[in-house]
Amino acid sequence: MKKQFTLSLILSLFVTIASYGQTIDDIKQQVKSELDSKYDISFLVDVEAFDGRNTYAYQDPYNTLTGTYLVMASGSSIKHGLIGVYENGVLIWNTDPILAGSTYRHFLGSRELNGDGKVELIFGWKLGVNPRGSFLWIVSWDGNTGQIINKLDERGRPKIYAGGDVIFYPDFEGDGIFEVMTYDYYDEDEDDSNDLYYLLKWDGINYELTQKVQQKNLTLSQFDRKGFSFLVNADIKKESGEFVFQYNIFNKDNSLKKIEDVHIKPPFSIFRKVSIPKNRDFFNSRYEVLSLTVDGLEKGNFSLAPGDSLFFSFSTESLVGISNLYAQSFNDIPPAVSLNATDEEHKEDIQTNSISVNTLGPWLPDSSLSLQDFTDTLQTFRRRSCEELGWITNKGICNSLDVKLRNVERHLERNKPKQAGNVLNAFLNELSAQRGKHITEEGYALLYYNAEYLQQRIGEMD
Amino acid sequence: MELYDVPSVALSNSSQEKFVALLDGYPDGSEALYDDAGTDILVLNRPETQGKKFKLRVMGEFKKGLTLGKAKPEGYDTSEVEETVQAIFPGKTVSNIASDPYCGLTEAYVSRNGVFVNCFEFTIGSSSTEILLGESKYFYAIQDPDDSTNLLIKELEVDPQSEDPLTLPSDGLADGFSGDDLIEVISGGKSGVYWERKRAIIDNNGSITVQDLPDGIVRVIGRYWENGKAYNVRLKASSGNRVGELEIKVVKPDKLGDMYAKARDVFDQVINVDSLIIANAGKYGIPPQLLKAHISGEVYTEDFGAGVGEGFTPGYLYEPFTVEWWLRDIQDDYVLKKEWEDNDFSVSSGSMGSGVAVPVHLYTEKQTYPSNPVTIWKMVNKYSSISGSSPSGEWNSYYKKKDTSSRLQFYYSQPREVYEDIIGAVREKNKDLEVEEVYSQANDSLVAYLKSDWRGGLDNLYAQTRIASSYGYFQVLYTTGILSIKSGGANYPRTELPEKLNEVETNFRVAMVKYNELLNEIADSNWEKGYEQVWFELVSNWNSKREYSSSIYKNIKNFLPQNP
Repeated sequence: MKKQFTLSLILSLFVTIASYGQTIDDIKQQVKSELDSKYDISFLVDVEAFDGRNTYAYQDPYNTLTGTYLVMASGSSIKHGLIGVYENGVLIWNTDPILAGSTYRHFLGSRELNGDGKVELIFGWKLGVNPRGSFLWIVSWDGNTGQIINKLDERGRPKIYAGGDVIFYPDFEGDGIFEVMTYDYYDEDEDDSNDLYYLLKWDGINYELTQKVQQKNLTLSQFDRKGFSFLVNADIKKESGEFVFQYNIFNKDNSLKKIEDVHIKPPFSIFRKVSIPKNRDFFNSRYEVLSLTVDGLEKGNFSLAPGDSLFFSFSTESLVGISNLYAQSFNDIPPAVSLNATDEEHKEDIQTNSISVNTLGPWLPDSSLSLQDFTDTLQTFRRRSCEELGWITNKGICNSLDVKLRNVERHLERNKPKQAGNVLNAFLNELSAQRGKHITEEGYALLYYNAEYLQQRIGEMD
Repeated sequence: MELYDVPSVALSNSSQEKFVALLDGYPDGSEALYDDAGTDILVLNRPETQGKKFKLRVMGEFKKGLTLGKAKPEGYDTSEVEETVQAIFPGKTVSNIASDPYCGLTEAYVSRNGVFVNCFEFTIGSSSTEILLGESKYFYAIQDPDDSTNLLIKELEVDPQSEDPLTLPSDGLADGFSGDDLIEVISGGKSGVYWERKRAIIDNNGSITVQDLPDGIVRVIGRYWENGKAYNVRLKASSGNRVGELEIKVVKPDKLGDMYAKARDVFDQVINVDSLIIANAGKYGIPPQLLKAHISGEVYTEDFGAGVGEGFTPGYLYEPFTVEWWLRDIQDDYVLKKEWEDNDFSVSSGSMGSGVAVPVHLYTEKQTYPSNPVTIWKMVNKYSSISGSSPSGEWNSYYKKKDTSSRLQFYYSQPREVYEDIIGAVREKNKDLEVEEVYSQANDSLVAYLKSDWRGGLDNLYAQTRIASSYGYFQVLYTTGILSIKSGGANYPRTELPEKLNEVETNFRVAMVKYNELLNEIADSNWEKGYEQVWFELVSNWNSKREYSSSIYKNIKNFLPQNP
């Protein structure tokens, strides 16, 4: 207990002592003095201590906020406000002209919004006797100077209002330029669909209100969820009679977006030994896919960033089949949009508003499938591996495997299981020999484990 | 102009009573001037005489001590005359005609007969009117057919709810109100009325449509009234060489609508809410019906019983999803910022603050003051419901089960976003769940999440139930009240009890400061948009919640100023 107290005391002292040996109060006084005491410093943000635990994420993509303090002030003799940036003992920038007055002032976060190489700082100005939301100032900050990039109304107030301080930063077009979407809800009735969203777009100079959209008119497809490229490696192992499906997903360095959701189709409901990253969830979704999603509310923070990879695995007793893997990037979509969508719209969104690749997934063949039909399926797997998926890269091997499977099929048609089994052994041997050479791990796992299953079924005929 | 002779015999008796009488036959108590024969010659409220200018010639014998109409070099000393004639026409403008000293008679005639003569000019009907505080009246001017120099100002009946173009008066319309100098202050020190050439139609949703009035029509609104002070103005019309005038007096309405006229305050005293509103509205120039509608939109009502009836209750609402977080440091695990920790009324685990204890106040709704420290979660949970029923004896303040499903309805947007996220996750992960079951699971998850996880868990922080709360009829936030005026506050003393804001006089005092400040902020650039638009915008700045102004304005018709 004593140790804990000491630690907290040290932490407390650490927080209190700001840069240049100044306390927060020292900085406030200094800034006030620099402003000729015309302003009271109402809110001072130590940017480095701002950890973004609130809904509004703090980001510093260009490291231009390191060591800075954000200043929000109200006029001491005039009804105006001010935003400034303090660094290294100096107020290095403040808004000019002065801003409209406000009752309360808040720093709501920072992020790169418009792709101009500068970070945008978002401040909330609260007005009125009982304010619930904020008018937003958006300041473009390059490390030396700032510029307000939101349009003003005729009274000099920001045009952007966020009811309840709920703000979204979606990217509608997927071009890396983020829109600002604020929410202004109406609590007088039970019909949420009448709630309004204000959409502000970057016009090259300012963020300008372009649309007021009723909640019911927002659809999933309006929010682009592509904007990245990625690699998927599937590795299947057999352990204790079960297949362990292991996936490694790499979001390429040149991607614009983080990857939030990964879906595998067709779905498979029976799996065990799930291994997934922290803050992720893996489940059989109502949208007829296996889904690996970000768990919790901080989806933007825990999505897969460009240059990063994630690994997940699960085991099943099923066979190995060809699956579609759909990946969707993070987009700051209001939860209500997702709730409004029907199951069919969700399914379509997964398939069309995503980047998909073929990979391996669980597959449970129909138990009534005849051996000939199963061999046909194996032949299809081979053909797709050769011609479509790039999992077998040598034409001669493709032909050789083709011949073997046709022989297996012919022997089965003639009810010669032993001969079929012999040929299938040769097929398996060839796969093992070419594994990692002209056959990828995916191609090997797909054909080998299904051939092995066929071999087992053939053996049961004897 | 018609000339009426008052028989000299009457004046010779030194009695004015013969010249004026309240005629019992006129149900509205019209005054009449009638001759000796008992024939009415003028009836003040008779339609055909309205707005007409008349000349009254009074002639009588000089008698000792009679000063009436005493001639003076510069004209007539009318002081006593006016007094006398004002007795005939109380409240009416009567002017002595100096340019016609013998009233159409010759000096020789007057001298020869040893009589005095005086003539007075007056206009019946439109020369003076009253307007209630907050009331709108519409006026137009017509040319006086009997006097080429005169405009008669008349009132136009207007249906305030109709968006149809105004029906123009059938008796002609002179463009008499084209200038900007329409109002002359007679008394009160400032204009007791506001005028404009616009009208506003407020529909049932509280939306305002502003129409320009046709040329020649002006709208006048009673704006100031104070007890013991007369706000009188003169409305002036002019067109060519014609002029007309109308004196307007702002008077106190008897009541504001037919409900919530009285209430009991936190000390169980009966208060006349209408009078309180009228006094404040009249003093600060705010439409009283707006103040009452504003209050109606902010607080609840209850039946206070005989002699009082249904009335407003003192409102108290703790704000766990807005103000509570403004007080806390996001950079430091949401501990109270020092400035708030130092406040006399900040709540901690063992104290309700170092200042004066929480008082006992009666009738508070929407919530009752916690007298001991409670966590944020305790307050949220107490005043919310996922089961569909309100907390016992209390109101749902934060969220509740919808009437139509198990889905929750929120009064604050941030927890709603959390909730919707949870619903989405529950639904997606549970493919076979029926929608009601999805909501049910999401409700349970929300409760667990808010209580233990959101922002460190609401059950781990003590609620600032005194500081982070709104009080009284206008639901003033304590945190706003104590700010300086230039910072958007009301200079409410920091050492004063937050709960004192629930005392009616205190609350009105703070609210009026805010109204005044907000008006100063917006009025200059907005009067041209129309009277109602200014107030509409002011109310929207009071609380920036969507459609807040509309929610207030849709009730305004229920509280219009009235006299019986």
